[in-house]
Amino acid sequence: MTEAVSRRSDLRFRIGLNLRSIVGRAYPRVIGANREPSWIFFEAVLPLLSIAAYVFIYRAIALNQVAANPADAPRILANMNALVASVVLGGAMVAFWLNVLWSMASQLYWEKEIGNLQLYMMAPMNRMALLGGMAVGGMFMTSVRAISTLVAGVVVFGVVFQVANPLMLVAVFFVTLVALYGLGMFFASLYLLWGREAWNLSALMEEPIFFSSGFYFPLGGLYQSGGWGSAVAVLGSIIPAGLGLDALRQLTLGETAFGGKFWVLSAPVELELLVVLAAGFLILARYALAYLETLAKREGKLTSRHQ
Amino acid sequence: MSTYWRTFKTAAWLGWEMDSNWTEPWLFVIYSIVKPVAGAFILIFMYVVIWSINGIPDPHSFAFLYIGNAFFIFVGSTLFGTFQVIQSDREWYQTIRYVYISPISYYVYILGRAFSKIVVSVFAVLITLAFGVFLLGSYGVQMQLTLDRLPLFFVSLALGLFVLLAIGITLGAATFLMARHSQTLASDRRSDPSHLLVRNHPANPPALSAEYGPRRLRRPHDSRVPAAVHRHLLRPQHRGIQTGRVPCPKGGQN
Repeated sequence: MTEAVSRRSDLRFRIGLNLRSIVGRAYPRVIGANREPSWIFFEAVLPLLSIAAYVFIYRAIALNQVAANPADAPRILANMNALVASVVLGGAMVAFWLNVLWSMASQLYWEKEIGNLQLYMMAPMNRMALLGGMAVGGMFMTSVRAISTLVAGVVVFGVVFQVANPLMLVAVFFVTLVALYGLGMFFASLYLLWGREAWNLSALMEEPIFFSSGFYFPLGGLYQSGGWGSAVAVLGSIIPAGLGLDALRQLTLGETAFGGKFWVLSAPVELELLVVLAAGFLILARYALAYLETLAKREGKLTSRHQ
Repeated sequence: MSTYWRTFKTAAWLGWEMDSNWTEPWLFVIYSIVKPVAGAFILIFMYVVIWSINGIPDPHSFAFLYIGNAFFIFVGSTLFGTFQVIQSDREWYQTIRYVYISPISYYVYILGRAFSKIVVSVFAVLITLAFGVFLLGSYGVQMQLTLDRLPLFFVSLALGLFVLLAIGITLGAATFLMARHSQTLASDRRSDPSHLLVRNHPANPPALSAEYGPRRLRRPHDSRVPAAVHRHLLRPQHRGIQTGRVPCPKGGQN
């Protein structure tokens, strides 16, 4: 047994190698998030405009409702604040979803186009470590935008969050992120196989997913619409952001928000479902990567540009 | 005039092919429609939810929002579509230099490329409006277009599109003066002829590798590069800002 072979079979060495790979791949994203100040500005401020548009829609309709029924103003305004808060939370989640689409799912395709993929495939680390590093870096990078969105929501739009169970909130948030980025890791392999359609697929999964996963309104509204609306909501719930947002809204706005009638499931049940989704997507990502690697070896062209 | 028309037609055809040839035409049509319609559905359910919670309908506001959102599709596709022509030609396909030095009007070329996006967006707007008028009438979405209002409508629409095109070209022009944050990888590859063509060589030849030596770039009997081309296209570039091959993900992350 040569020294190289014995090192590769050494569990401690392999764990260290993969951890270094995760750190190495996360490094450019973590550093990149801070290296260019204009990116921070564009990432943090511009998305607020679209969130503000949705906030003003709720406000405009609610104020018209107050004008129509002044006696009921306190209740209408309280509901309006809850809806505005749900938009702010949705806007923060949009940042993570876009990051999953454009910096996780599409990433291997970009790497192929710029010639890095073959280097990744030749490197001795596990490919899951590569994707894991991308995910860790992406989470950090996106958190800048998400936090700024939440801060702006509190400061600019006067949103009030009431967190009764912070541990549960943290658990839901991180499990949602793991499930989301697991989905991104799974998509990364699929996008590579689909080639040029990758860009269009990512573009296609913006507004339709914002709608079907209830980014800007309570997902329960779509569930309760019946017929095709319920079917779309069920499909949208496969994207972890849907259930994650529903649980986060329950934990930050209280279960009585929106009259308590627009929740999909209770937060603990949604957390359990998110754990299942996270595990499922990570396993799927592992198999998709293995399939990709087999295909690359068999056909000998998957990693090269224009092939 | 015929050159302009030919340029416009060819650019429009090129734009259509670039936008749609990644898939079957029917799938592209669905793709072009699903996004804006999903955006409209977000508004619908926002309205349904706030109506359901507070129990007070507000059909006029909803109709206002819905119609406005439908026409906003033009903004997205025309404004950013025009801007993307320059971006994609320069940074993705790297063909802008060839288009620029070809004997055509660059403005007509951009308008032609944008035209295909406008045509697609017209269908998306019509479908969104038809959906609203025919299926959301009970929610208050109505359009009352009388004959005497049609001229004003079409003139406003045409002027709006013209302004969007102008802003798109302006944005594209502005990007020529910006650092290309999306470029992360250098293109110092032996097999990249466009790199040799465009990258100006610095004044210190010994600092260059043989690949970029003046002898390799222009031999004595080669014709000289036209002054206009040199002035507009062959300006020195900083080594750190080189042309890349593909657009990076949104935000230019690595």
